[in-house]
Amino acid sequence: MSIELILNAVNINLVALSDQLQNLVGQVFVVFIIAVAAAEAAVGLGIIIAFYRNKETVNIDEMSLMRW
Amino acid sequence: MDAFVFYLLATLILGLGIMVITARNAVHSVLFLVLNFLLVAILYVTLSAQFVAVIQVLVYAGGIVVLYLFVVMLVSLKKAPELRSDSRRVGRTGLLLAGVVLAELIAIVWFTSASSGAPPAQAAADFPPRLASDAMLNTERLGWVLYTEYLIPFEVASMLLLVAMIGAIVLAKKNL
Repeated sequence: MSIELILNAVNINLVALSDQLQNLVGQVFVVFIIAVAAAEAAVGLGIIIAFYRNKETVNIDEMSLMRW
Repeated sequence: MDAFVFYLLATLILGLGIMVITARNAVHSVLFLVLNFLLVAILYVTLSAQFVAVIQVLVYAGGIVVLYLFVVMLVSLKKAPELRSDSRRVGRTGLLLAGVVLAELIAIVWFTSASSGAPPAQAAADFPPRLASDAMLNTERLGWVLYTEYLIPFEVASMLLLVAMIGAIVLAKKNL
């Protein structure tokens, strides 16, 4: 969720500058960022679900092995 | 009036962002996130980016946050993880990085305003008529740019979404 907040901050910056500079490219970029954010959220949450199903925890300090 | 609306929105957005990361209950945190995204959408409307505002409400507040809510309720945290022992060191590193970013932003604003002072002033001059034009114009122009100049990145983004969808389905399979 913090990643989503960070991406939103970037999006606000891009939209504000696109309004200021009268340039539409910033808003195009915002659309791409939203698409990437959706993909990233889906994959990240899938990883969390898979991890929880195998280890019964979501504490990141215990996510230290690459295979089991 | 414009400045008042902006400062009100900015204060609410920042406060809700802080509440998102400090809320003890994960579900409360997600609900604060929904409010935050809706306020950001209002901010987009005031910046005359209506299409992005609609996309923000549909994709973020409607899709991503519901996904987060599902996962938070599925994963049922029994106890909050204890704080790390060296959180002070992490905080100091974060403060340092935030300072670097702030310096960078100030430098960007300083140099761009020093090099070209005229375009922002001219943009501010014809700001009200552009805002008064209907929302269809913004969407139309955005779609035109997206499907002509940025067609290849658009297709790449669609492929990325397809790959992410397949990856999420594979990860969520029963016997991984």
